[in-house]
Amino acid sequence: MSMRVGDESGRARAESNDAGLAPTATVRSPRGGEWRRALRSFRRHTVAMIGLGFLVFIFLACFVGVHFAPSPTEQALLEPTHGPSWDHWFGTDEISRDELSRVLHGGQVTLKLAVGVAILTTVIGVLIGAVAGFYRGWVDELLMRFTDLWIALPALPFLAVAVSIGTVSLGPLGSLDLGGPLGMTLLLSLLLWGSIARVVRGATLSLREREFVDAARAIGSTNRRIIWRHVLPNCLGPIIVNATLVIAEAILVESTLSFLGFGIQPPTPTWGNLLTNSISNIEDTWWLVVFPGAVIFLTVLAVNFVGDGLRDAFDPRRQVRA
Amino acid sequence: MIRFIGRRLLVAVPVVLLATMLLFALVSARGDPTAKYRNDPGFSQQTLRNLRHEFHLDEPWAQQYVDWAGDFVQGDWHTSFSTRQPVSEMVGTALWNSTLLIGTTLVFAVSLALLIGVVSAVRRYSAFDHLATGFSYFGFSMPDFFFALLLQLFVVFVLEQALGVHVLYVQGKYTVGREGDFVNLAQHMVLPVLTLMLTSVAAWSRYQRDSMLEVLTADYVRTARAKGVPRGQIIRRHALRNALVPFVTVVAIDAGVLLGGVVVVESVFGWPGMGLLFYDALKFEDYPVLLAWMAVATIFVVVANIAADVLYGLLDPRIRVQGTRRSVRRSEREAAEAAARAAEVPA
Amino acid sequence: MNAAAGFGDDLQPALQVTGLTVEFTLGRAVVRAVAGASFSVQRGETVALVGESGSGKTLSALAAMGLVDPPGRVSGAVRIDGQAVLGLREDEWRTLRGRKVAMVFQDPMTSLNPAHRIGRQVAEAIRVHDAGVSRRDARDRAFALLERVGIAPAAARARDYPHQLSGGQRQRVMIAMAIANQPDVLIADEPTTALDVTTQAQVLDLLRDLQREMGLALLLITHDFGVVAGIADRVVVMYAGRVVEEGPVDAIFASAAHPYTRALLASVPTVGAARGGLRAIVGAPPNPGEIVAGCAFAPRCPLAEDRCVAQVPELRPVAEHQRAACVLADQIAAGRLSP
Repeated sequence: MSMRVGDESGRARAESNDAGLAPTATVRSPRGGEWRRALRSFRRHTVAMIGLGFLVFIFLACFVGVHFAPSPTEQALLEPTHGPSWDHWFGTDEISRDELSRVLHGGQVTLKLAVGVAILTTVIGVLIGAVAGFYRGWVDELLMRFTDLWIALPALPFLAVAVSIGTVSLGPLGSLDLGGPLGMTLLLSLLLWGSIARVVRGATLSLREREFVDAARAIGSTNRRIIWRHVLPNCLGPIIVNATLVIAEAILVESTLSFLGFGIQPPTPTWGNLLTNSISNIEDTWWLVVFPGAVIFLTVLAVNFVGDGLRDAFDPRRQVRA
Repeated sequence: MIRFIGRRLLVAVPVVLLATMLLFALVSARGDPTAKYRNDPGFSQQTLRNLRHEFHLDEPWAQQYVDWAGDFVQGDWHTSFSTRQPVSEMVGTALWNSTLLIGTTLVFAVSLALLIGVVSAVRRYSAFDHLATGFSYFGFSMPDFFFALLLQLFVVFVLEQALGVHVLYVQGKYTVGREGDFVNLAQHMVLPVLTLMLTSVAAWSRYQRDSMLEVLTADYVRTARAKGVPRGQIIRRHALRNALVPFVTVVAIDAGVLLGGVVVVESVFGWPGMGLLFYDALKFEDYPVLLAWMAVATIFVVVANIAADVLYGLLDPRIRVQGTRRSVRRSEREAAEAAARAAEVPA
Repeated sequence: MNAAAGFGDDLQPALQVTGLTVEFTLGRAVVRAVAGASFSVQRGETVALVGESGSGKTLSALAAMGLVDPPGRVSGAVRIDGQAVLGLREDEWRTLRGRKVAMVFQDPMTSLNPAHRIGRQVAEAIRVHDAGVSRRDARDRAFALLERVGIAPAAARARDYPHQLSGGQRQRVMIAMAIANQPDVLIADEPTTALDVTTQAQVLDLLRDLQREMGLALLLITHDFGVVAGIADRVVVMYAGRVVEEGPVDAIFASAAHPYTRALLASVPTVGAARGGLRAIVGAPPNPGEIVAGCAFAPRCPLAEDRCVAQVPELRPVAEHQRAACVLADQIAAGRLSP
């Protein structure tokens, strides 16, 4: 599904439509020494490196630095709710909890979720994309029409309703709270695999025609083996780029959902639900909006920068800037 | 062309059916919607029984769906649990309000995105281009709810308190008592439209820039140059004309996605449209409204997708004249293969 | 180097290229795709510019049209009807392109705007250079052009889109656009490569007719010697960005003086020849970025000597109107040596 306007997925769909008017990008993926070249190219990309630096900082803060911050549940009851101060860098919330530590704890949840979603969507997307691209014909047509529509559906309402189902029983596997971090991860993954599927399908389609596939078939490799050992390794570049962008998307979707109150509920903090109560009394507690919001924004920005750097690193055409 | 549209519509019907079935299943999975009213003094046992009967809640799931779908198609959308109003009225008003918002956003966003995209591509790597790129990143990294809240903060703290300017409103559609006043409406619309525009323009302008760049290096542009066509004409009549095709498709598809974005914007700004309707319906478990909302939203998205295909067909003569995208791609592929084979012939 | 003024001709060539060099600066590397090429085309003459891909022939043509963009840098001299054109401003170029010098490109499918009808595209070529022409006149002239190139009935076909035409027809449309304003020089870059053999012949016939009718100076870029034999008056052979041989087509076919030319001719399979397999030229041309010492063909040349690597061979006359850039040219031409 697309959460936001202008998703890669939407663009990917349009790109696959206009075969002649705006040609699609070449597919190439690093092998051996090319990984090093890609790495070098990435390192030279200033903006991407800044993004990477920031992400490292955020991860460290949320997973390591958090231990040095006051507990997110401890309430400084002697002080009224206030904005940034020396003791509380991000201020305190309505019930006098330290906002900074709430942000850091929230970060743990959101970030873990985002990475989890990226991994799962890659798995799903690669599966669907590779099958569609490799077998072509009606399989491809069917899968891609389905993917198109899946991408076009608005994620937010669907997710909100699904999450509101609450806890589902999975039989012998126990029960799953769809509104919890694990449940949300699964749900988001089920909805966001579209862009990766499109990319993998495109790459598979073109790679399939290459000689090494014929060669592999000539020596008797099964289809599955060919896909796994020959086609997929060459798609790695675009896959990595898209997976990175999925991370950004996941952060945004999760925080939007939680903000509205339809996602992960308090007391589990996530970056989104830290702003939930601000809809009504924003004038009194501006710091409760600005700080968590800025953290989300900057993190997503950093991920996008890194994604851009990766895209340039893996695309041989873009490396030469005149 | 008619056949083309007809075929898309035909495919759309099962899609809408499937999607609504899925949504219906999701909503039903949440359990008996009347359960929470059992202890509510506002609902007598008799009322509850009537409700259960009206919504066929005692029947199996699949039967419920068929009943509901049948009712929906015939125009019987029942009454809201929360407001006791006919759902069709509620959805009608909400749809109109959201259309107002989305329509205005589309007009401004598309114009701005085209402008920025084209200029960025033509003046690649210039200061303008870098600024536009920066803006794009800003736009699609910014969570819309955060931006909406920031705008509110800005209006309240900067405009009103610091500068004493009371021009923009942060809540609702009209100030009480001023319904129908166009200026008042505009004052309320500025902030929500700006928020919706942010992500749209950021993404679309970038896409248009990429699209233009690819087109500007196309062979037919080189031919036009070789003919002596002036630069301005090349950009407008050759490059832009062809770059518009994928752009338009993306916009049409995204229009469907905007419906999701509208949920956030309307909730924050209190705009009485489909977004706020959804928010309230889900929050208060207003079953009939939720279902009707789902159906309308699905139809909206499917229609937007069809519109995308239709527009694509209109703008790309290869589809218009030949019929299907698939056949065009196949013939193009064959032509490309023939050319490639010919080029490989050794000297 | 006082080069291609046409041997002994007093007539000014329609197209004269002297010491043309095209370089690309990519990062720190400088790639020299064309290194000091010189050739000329007289009015009413067809010159075939022959070479493998990467020999610099297309770039030379593009340079003659001013269509080489940064990071490419063009130096040397190009004269069209005596007018020096390298270094002209873009708006000055625009008055020349499509009017004095025109070009037909290789792939007609991608070279025509898919969104415009072909009649409009031909009319555009007219209207761009004739500001005052009325729509109707432009349209009528476009129809006439389409008929002239063999697309009939013009009025009906003018409403077609490029994808509705066959490859041969598209190429005719390209030609129609190119001759719309009676240019002095027509450059055709592999105009028949993407076409099947029968259509190839038709298009070449068309070009020949047009040339005779309009007295065009036709520069035909190709890698196919069959095309050369069919239509060219003179041949210019390029290798690794340099001209290695030039001369009248009969002389070249009968007694080429450069080992590369000989090898090219030998590798063309002929019907009825002894079945000895295809004779490809061993090795591959140098990458455009490589700097080669001495003769660029030496590594692949069976006759290479030490002095071939020491210095880049100059174009020296071998026979009347024939020149080759090889130290052994005389002997090869005379048949005393054979690569």
